[in-house]
Parts: sequence; C-alpha cells; structure tokens
Amino acid sequence: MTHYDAIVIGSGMSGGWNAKELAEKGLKVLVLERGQKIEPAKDYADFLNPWDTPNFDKIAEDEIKQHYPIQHRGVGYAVKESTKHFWVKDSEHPYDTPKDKPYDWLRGHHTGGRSLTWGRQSYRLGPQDFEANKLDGHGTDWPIRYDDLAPWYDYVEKFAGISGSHEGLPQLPDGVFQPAFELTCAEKAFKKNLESAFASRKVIPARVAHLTAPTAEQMALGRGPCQARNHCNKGCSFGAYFSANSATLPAAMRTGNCTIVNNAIVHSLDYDATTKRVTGVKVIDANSKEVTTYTSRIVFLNASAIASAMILLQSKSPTYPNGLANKSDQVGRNLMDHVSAASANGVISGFDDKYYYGRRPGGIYIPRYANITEDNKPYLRGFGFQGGSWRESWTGNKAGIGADFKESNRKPGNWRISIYSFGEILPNPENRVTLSKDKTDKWGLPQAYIDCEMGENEKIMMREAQKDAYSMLKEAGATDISRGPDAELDLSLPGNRIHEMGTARMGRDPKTSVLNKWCQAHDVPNLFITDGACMPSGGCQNPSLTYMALSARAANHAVKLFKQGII
Amino acid sequence: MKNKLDQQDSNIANNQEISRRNVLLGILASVGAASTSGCARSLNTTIMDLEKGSAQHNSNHEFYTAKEFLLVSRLSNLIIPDTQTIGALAVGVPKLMDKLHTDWASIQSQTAHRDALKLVNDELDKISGVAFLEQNPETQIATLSTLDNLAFSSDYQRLSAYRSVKNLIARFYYLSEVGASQELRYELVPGRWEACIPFEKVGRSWAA
Repeated sequence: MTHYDAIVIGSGMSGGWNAKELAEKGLKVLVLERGQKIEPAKDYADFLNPWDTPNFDKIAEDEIKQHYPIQHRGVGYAVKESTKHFWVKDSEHPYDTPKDKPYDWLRGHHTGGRSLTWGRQSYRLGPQDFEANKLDGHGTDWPIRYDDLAPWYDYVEKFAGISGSHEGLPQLPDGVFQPAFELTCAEKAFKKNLESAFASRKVIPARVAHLTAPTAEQMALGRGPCQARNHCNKGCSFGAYFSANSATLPAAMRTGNCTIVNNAIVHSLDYDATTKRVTGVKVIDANSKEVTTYTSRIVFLNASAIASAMILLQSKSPTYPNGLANKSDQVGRNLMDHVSAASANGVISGFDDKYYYGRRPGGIYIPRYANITEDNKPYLRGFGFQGGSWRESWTGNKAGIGADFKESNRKPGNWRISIYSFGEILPNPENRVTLSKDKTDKWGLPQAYIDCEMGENEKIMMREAQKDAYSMLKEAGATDISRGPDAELDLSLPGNRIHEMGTARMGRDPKTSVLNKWCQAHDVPNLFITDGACMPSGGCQNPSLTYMALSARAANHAVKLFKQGII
Repeated sequence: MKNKLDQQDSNIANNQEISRRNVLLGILASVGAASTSGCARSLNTTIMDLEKGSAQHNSNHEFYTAKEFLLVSRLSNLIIPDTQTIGALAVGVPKLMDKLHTDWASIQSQTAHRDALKLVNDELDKISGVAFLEQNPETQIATLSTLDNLAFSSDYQRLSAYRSVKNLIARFYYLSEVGASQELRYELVPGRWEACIPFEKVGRSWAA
C-alpha cells in the first residue's frame, strides 16, 4: 500500500504525537522513519549493572575517533557501548560547517528519535515567551499567544505524564501534574535560604516527564511508575518516562490505522502546482537504496528542525525553485538552540546524618527571573537554572591506602548542590542551514551546511548568569563554591543543548514566515511542520513539551480540515 | 585479541588464583591468626607468590608486561586490601585494567598509562632505594604510604600519574559487584525515591 490519508515524516517527539492524533481520529496514517526499528527487549540496556559492561561501558577510543567524534563530544555521558545504537555514526552522517563555527548536531536515527534519549525536563512556555519577539523586535511575532496553547498543554501533559509542583508562577505556568519528586534536605535548605535572600527568585522541583502516579490510560499502554533508576539514557523497560516508543506510537498502533516504515529516508516532497498541494513523499530505502513514492492528502514534517528544513530545501519545483514553502526565504534560517555556560556548585552543611534512597531522574529548577521579576538587565530575555544535590561518594582521588582508605569510602562526604544555566538564544536569520553545494551523503542527498554561532546577547547573558549563580549559592549558605562570579566561560556550542529550533517558523505574514498559526505552510495547505522548526523563538525552557502541544493542536486542526474536504 | 576459548582459560586460571587465595584467607581467619603480624607477613608473602605466579601467566594479561601486571597487582592489593569484604586484587582489578588497555585504550592512552606505571615504579624504587617489588610487605606499605602522601600534598603536580593509577583501581573496585553491592551499596532497581532519610537506613555510600 502506498496511499494514505496522512504521512508523518519522523517518529520522534512530535511525529509520534501526530501519528497518535491522526490515527485516533480515524485517518489512515503512514509514519516514515529513516532509522532502524527499536525493540525494547533487544535494544534497551536498562537492566545492566555497572559491572555487567566491560571497560565502564566506554566505547573504544579509536572507534569514537572514527565513528562518533561529534556525538561523543556532545553527549559522552549517554553515548556508551551499550547505547551507541541510539546515536548516529558521524562517519556515516556527515555535515559541514564553516571552520570557525563548529556545530553539535546530536541525533539518533531510530523509531522514537530523540524522545528515547531526551532529558525529559518539561516546562511550558509562559505568556512572555509568545510576546518576546514582538516586544524587542528580534524575530517575528508569534501568531499565537499562551492562551491559544494552554488547553493543548493540558491535553498532552495528561497523556504524557509530567511530575511537578504547582507554584503559581506566571512565567512558568502550572500544568496537569503527577506528584513531584521530593527535594532533598539540602535542596530544601537551599530553597529556603535563596528565596529569603532573593524575593524575586524561586527554587522548585524539576518538572520531568516521568510517571509518579500513572493513570489508567497510561497503564493501559503498558507504562508503569518510575523506578528511580535514572538509567533513562539506556531506554526504560517500564515505559516510565514519556517517549514516542512508550506512549504515542503504541497509542497510534492500537487504532489499527497506523503503519510505520523504517529505514525510509525522505528524498523530497512532490508538489502539484495545479492543486497547490503536496501529493507525495519520495523515499529512499536506507539499505537497498530502492526509491518509493508514497502519496497522501496530508503531510506532517517532523524530521527535526535541521532535517525538516533540508527536506523542504531539497523539494524544488518550478513554483518553489528555492525549496518547498520557501517563498519567504526563511526555510533553514533562524536556527536556534539554548545556551549554557554559567554554572557552579557548592557545599551545603548541616545534613551529615541524612541520605537518600534511589536515583531521582530530575532535581531542582530555578525559573527565569531576568526581565520578568527583575529588570534593568544588560541583556534581553533570560535563562533558567537546572540543578540538584547529591552527597559526595567514594573516590580514589584522596590520600590514604589500605583498610583506612577503604573505610573512608564507606561514608559519603559533603552534600553538594549544583546549578547550571539554560539561556534563550535570539532568533537570527544569519544562523541557518543550507544544502551543501558539493557534498553528498551515501544516498546521494546533499549534506547539511550549518552556519550558526552565538551572539553578543548570549555572551553577555551567560556572563551575568555566572555572577548570579555564584551569588545565589553564596547567599544560600553554600561554601567551597566551585566557580566564582568572574569565572572564565566556554559557551556551549550551538546545537549542544539538542534543542534545535526555528528553521521554518510560524508567523502572521507569509512574506516573513513559513507557517501559519496552525503550523500549516502558508502556501501549501496540506503541509504541516510541528517539530522544532516551527518555533518563532525558543524561550529558555526545554522545548519538547511545547512541540507536543503544538503537534496535538495542529493535528486536530488538520483532521477538521480533512473531514471538511478542505485538504 | 584473544579468542573466546583463550579467555575462558584465562578466567579459569584467574579464578583459581583467587580461589586459592581465599582459601588461605579463610584458613587463617578461622584460627584467628590473621591479626598477628607474623601470620600476616606469612599470608602476604603467600599472596605475593600468587601474584608473581599470576603475573607469569601470559593468559592473565595481554597489555601489561609481567612486571607491570605485578606492580598493578601489588598496588591494587595495598590500596584496597581484603578486609571484611574482599579487596581490589581479589575482585580482579588488575585483569580488568589490562582489558581496558587492551580493548578500549588508543595507542596514546596505552602509552600514557605505561608511562604512568613506569613513573610510579621508579618513584617507589627511589623512596627506599630498594626495588619496590622486591621489598617485604611491611616495607611496601611504608613506601607506598610515603608516595601516596606526596601525591596528595607537596608533589601533587609531579605525581599525577600515581593518582591516575590509584583512581583507576578505585573505580574498577567500587563498580565491581563486590565493591558496589557488598563494600558499598547499589540497587539496580530502587523502585522509589526517598529524598531525605537517616543515613543509617542506607548505612554506606551509594556506589552509583
């Protein structure tokens, strides 16, 4: 079968949602996934003890150099011998950048995409984030406001399962939460002292997509409560954290309306100038290189921000010589991520007789205060801090040998608390992905050429965030603070936060944006893009929850148009 | 790289060494003799003989030379000895370090580690003027204690090689099954998160 009601390109964070929503509404859906199938029993490594994996589960150094130099540089903590199949081989999936502008394009090609390996931090954008572009003139105005998306945040949170606390913060709206993971005693002390010293700042439990009180709907999909293992990078056989694999794709498949085809690399989208519709998707089989064209009435593009832009740019026609839906010349531009650099940790005293049980998959969060509850900042927009506390444990890096050394490692050391920043990157049309003019991949498709760098606002913001990180730890009573207010900062490389966004932005004006308020291409009404590409700005919050909400909203709108015969 | 059969043989040989050693320990402990210095010396001498025997079996190591393997074995046993739980030598840390440098390390890392071991050996030899591996057990403890103190104080920069070897021994030990789940605490599936409980409820450091 090659004709469907809808084709979803990409099976990850946002594609999974579209597959679910469209299939549940009765449409026959084809999901095209360029990577391999994931089988939890074979592919997850979450039941391995530390001693079960030779060499600390490290990939051989020569293999890293040959096949994973970028993936390992970016997320070495997750790219292990037992999990390397969740990440691409850089040697097989090259891309190009200017020599002085390295970019971390960190990704995996498999069913579920990055939803299998994400950090699971789940925060709503606040009202300020939908208005920021209009207020300061960077980027173009969002075509929607917070109230447009709020019910869809509710909708996806209820299904996905987000643990969190109700805080009543306007800039970080509450949602439909399962119980939060409790703060440690050191974190409670840190919160009390920090909020006392800074009335405009808050410390809250991290909001993470982990089930702490699963609903009947979640359990019916085979999902169970979080077991506090924090082995999430290895997959979760309990389905306790949200992924397309554990939640949306099983929901789509049980309708009987959804088909997933793996190893399906999208070459381009076919466009009919007469009907002004996308008519099909040309696909290359990753193994056989056989080409197949699938047809449908609707296409959702969810390949991730860079890959989705590349598919549009590859889809040239007389009507769209510069790429499909690209009359605005905004496809591939405004590539964003988040920026990190500011961080510090310090000792919290007074709890030597206390410990914890389990490995919590989240910690604390300090919501954005800059240019919200505090003003007169020398930069635009702001940042949040993620963090958490722990007790120092065994180490070989201390004096002593013999029985005394062994004995000294039996008792944990100081409580430490750490905070690290995630700042907003301004949309900049010069940060962009284009098609390489002379380099192709092994399937003959143009490689990505990614030209992206941090701007002055990001540099100033991180400099100031470092001062804040130090002062908050100090005022909260921490000692032995690891980095001072003027510590030298290495900004995270663009892409390193794995929050790529903006390459086919929504907007009000077709001349300056690619998509309308429904994530629907201005000029191609049966084409929707709901991955990070659609974001006009990024806020400072981790964006996946927003992709989910935008996807569910767009899919439901598409179904309405489909049933009305408009598309 | 060895084939699977060779590896099995090697494991059997290694296990036999450990087994013989534990039998000795068990005998001494059962007669209450392990606390006397004479018997401890005797035991240590026996252990050293076993280590030497083990080092001479090439099947026990691919990367290390016999002398390097012996040095790593002595360091493992002196830094993390058997106490109420077995120590780094008995859990096979030298073998694990050998495998790391055979299978994981690049030529650069292999060279760096070999250089580190040479520096450690030379420094240990210099401290008392007698070859460390030829010293009696009590002298070895004193010699290594001296080096360890220097490496964490006045000679911090110069002796980073020693700290790197010590860290590796500790890391392999505390992430071994015995190190993690008997000497320290480890739960593969905790099943719950308790944020702030009396330390006594856990009793020891979490290994991971």
